[in-house]
Amino acid sequence: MKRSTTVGSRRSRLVAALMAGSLIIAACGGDDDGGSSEPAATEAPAPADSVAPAEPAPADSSAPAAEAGPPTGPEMIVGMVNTEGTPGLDFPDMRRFAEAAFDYLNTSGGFGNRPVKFESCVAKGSPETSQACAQELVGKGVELVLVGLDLFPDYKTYEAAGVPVIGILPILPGDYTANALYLSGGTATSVGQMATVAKEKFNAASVGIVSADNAGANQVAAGLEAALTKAGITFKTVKGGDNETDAGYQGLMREASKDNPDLLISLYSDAGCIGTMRGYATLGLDVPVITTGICADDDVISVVGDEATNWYFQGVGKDTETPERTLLRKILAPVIGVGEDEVRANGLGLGGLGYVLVMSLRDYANQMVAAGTEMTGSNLFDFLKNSTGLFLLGGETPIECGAVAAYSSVCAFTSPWAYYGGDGKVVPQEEPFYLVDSKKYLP
Amino acid sequence: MTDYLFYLLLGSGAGAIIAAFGLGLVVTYQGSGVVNFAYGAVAMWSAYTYAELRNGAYIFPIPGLPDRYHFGDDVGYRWAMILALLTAVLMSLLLYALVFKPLRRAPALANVVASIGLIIVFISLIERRFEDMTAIRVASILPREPVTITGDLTIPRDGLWLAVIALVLTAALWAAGKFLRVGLATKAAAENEKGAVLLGYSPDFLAGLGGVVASVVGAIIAILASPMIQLNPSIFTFGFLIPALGAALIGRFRLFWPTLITGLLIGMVQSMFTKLQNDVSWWPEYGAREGLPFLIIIVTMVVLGERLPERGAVNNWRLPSVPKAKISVFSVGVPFVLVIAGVVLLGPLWRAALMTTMVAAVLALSLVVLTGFGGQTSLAQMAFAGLAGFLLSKFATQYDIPFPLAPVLAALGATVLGLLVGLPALRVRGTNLAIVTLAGGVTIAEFVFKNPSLIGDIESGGAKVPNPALGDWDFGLVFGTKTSRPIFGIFLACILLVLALLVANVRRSSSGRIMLAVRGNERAAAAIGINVTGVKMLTFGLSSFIAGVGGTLIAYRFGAVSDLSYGTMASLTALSVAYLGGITSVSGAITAGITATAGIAFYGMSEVIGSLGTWEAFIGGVLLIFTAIANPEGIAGAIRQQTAMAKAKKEREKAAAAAS
Repeated sequence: MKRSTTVGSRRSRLVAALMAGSLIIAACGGDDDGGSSEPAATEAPAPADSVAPAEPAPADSSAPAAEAGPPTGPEMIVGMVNTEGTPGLDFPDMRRFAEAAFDYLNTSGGFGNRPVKFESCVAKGSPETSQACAQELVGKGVELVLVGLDLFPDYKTYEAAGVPVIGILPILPGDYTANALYLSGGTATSVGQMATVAKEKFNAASVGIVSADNAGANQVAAGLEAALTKAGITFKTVKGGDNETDAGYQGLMREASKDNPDLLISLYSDAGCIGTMRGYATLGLDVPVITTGICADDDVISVVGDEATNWYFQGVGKDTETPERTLLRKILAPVIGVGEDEVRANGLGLGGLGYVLVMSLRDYANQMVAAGTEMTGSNLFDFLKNSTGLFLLGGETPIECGAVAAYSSVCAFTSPWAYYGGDGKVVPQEEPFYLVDSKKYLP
Repeated sequence: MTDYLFYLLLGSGAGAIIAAFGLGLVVTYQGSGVVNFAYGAVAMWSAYTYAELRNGAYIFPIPGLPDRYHFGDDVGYRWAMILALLTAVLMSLLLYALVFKPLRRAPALANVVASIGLIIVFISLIERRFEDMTAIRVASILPREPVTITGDLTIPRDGLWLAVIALVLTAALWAAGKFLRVGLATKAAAENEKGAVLLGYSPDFLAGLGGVVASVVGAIIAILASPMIQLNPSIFTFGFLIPALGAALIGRFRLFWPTLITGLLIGMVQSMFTKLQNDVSWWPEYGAREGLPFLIIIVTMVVLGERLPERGAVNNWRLPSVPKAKISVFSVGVPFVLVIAGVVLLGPLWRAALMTTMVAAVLALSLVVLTGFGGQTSLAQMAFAGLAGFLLSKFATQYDIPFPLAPVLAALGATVLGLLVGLPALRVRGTNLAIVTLAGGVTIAEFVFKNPSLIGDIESGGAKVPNPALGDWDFGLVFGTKTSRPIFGIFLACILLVLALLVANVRRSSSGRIMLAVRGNERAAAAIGINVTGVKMLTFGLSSFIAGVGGTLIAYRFGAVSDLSYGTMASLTALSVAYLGGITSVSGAITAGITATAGIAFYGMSEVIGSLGTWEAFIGGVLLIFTAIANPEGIAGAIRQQTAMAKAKKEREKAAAAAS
């Protein structure tokens, strides 16, 4: 029985998650317009576009200055589950770019000096297919499972089989406390950052929130309200539809700003970005607004222009050329089918998440092996879970797996912020509010 | 008060879209007797065609052809509009010729199934043709300058313009229906097709014309509205279509002005909810915006409905025939043994496909009772299943209620809701009932599935479900280090067997005969003393209980419940699969399970021919349409017909041989 659901609702949930798919942001920065579906069109900014860190990342072996030779260790089977082929849930680039990264590693250093046999399985956005993928990968003897975009990862099967799971983006509530590790914080951590920025940058005592009335956004809104409460900030939440007209968004912004709050927070993404920005400008509002990095997308800013004035974006980093970007171009150019110079690092869409996942894990694997631990999937999982001083690809976002007990699978609680700086440009926020930590006010 | 007026007027644009779509649905229904659930999807295609023409290209809907023809530059507003509208006309004619015309004599549910296939086809076409960007902003068409209501209250004027255009379209359609011969003929044909034929009007011509007019209406509004929203595959396909169905329902799929007024009101009142949610202390925190209008529609339909159909009322909801139920060792025992053998002997992936088949069969059984035997329709079946799943999670994890009490209570909870959703069936029938139950399903989804405290949040780790267990005997799918235990498959098979026998015995019993009597003719059934109300409630109750059991089985299988699995499209798809399998018999339900996505047929096919690649969803949609056309009474029905014909032929040959 195909238990698909309304396309929109799954997209809404995925887009809500991508609001804080911002770890990528840390490594990424900038906007992108890649991907084939609604979320992909307004997704987390491109990966692997990292800031040159103020201090060198500890034991950061990602600099490709001298490429290693082929790996010499025993083959390692790594599986990946990714959602593809369903209308609205089709993200093949994540798998393709991850595979490209593994292909490169198999010629240069390997995964902790082990060549990787990459086994992928396509889920169709239903629990049945996700479970079938879990069964299939476990049956193939994988040492590690990477979760690309999978709405229904079958953690029970992986746990029973003793196969560790590492993903890039937690989406549903169960992901946050699953026996897995995610290299980004998802929507849960974004709300903590919003509360931090509201409290410590804007000294807000009251906040107006606009949010869509769907399951995913309601969970985010509930989390945000809890975070604001923890920060001692009062709030008023105004809920709208998933698909409003511009006039509808104007009404939402008006109602949210009616009591003269110190700050507005928009939890709308994708279609709501332009609508809320336009509504804000039409009403002549000047109270600051914070929202997600999806709203800093090129496609949004090019439409709204200066209507984005006073808007601040969570999860948008700096856009600078780095050695990681050079390597990214080299690896992905043949996959995309363009020349290296034509690869837009901030235009990779969700595919970039797959690349960041693999290359970040490569770094950790190398560090682990350098410390004398044998490279296995379980050891890598434990190393990631228990180590300190690790950073996401690019060296900007610290990896702090399990730092908050209530979010035991989350490994990143920090992301960069930016704001609209005029002339169609989104610029990084100045310190100390460039990298914002969510842990203080996480509910 | 000014504030409320402001919000009402703000919603005029959305209301206009809903109203215009409602008009299109009414026109289509008047012309062909079909409720076209794909209406929004076709309008969406027109809007995307327009948007792409403004980017200098024309998109082709046929796979295999180049995806676009490049003009180079923006063709300009006028040419883009003309070409997009021509596309809408051609598309409607094509769809009528290829899909709806072959189904003109088929049961109404076959049209529902075909239109669901069309939805899948159009959405996947958009995904393929706009691979890099499906969400698009179109440049303004209607004037956008703000209109000042009072002092500081301004609203964009494009929404008001759209409302005026919807009003003009309504007037035009009304006038055509009143003063033009073809309009009068269409209305007449809607009442009595034979009469129209006698007057010299071809039903095909009227149906085709209705489809064209409806497509043009939908295309005009979708194109004009696209600058006001962010165009994406779901906004017209579902977002505005579902309330439009409600508006058309209030207009009884006949009257234009009530449809217009209801559509405008829905949009405007939803806009007003933006203010009400903070002004009114008891306002529901979740789901009110989308759910309350549907609740109002349901209540209105119940109030307006008739307890019994009028004498001589045309039955607009013809259903497939119901065969006798045969229970024998061959028909029950053999399949059961085969399933058990499969579960035990097959590998994990085949076993998983078999489990999907069994659960799908359970869900299909619920529709066999409701639609097959009872003649009622529910487009909310998955909502019941989902509710039971979430209730199971609550009962098992929060209240520590053990198996089997927890799933039984969960299914009973679904039953209560099923009875509530079924109440309109006492006064509403056929197409109207189908849409009312759709509204019911949406309402459940809005008020229940959007609420984090009910469906689980990060704190609770989602809606987890422990393994089914009796004491220390755990028979869950995953346990310890075992990832695919046959015992769970045996559990599913036993539940399916019990439910299949239950449904078969209902068919063979006096209760089944009474259900069929009510299905056949409510007035006659009432006249001979059958409690029609009681029978309908029993039907809905039993059906929703079985659907609830299905929901608990799904929950046990995955160890968790997610709202994402139980939306409107899930209910529509469940109905489609059940119908195609055969919605009037237990064997049909089993066939439905076999052919369900991720079931054994699908898995077997994927093993043989591999993945169909990026066009898989499109091909699936086409296959759904084709199957509905080729087997309007379902696959099981077709097999029965073929078997009966072969048997009759054999007997004739035997008789001939004996005679000679």
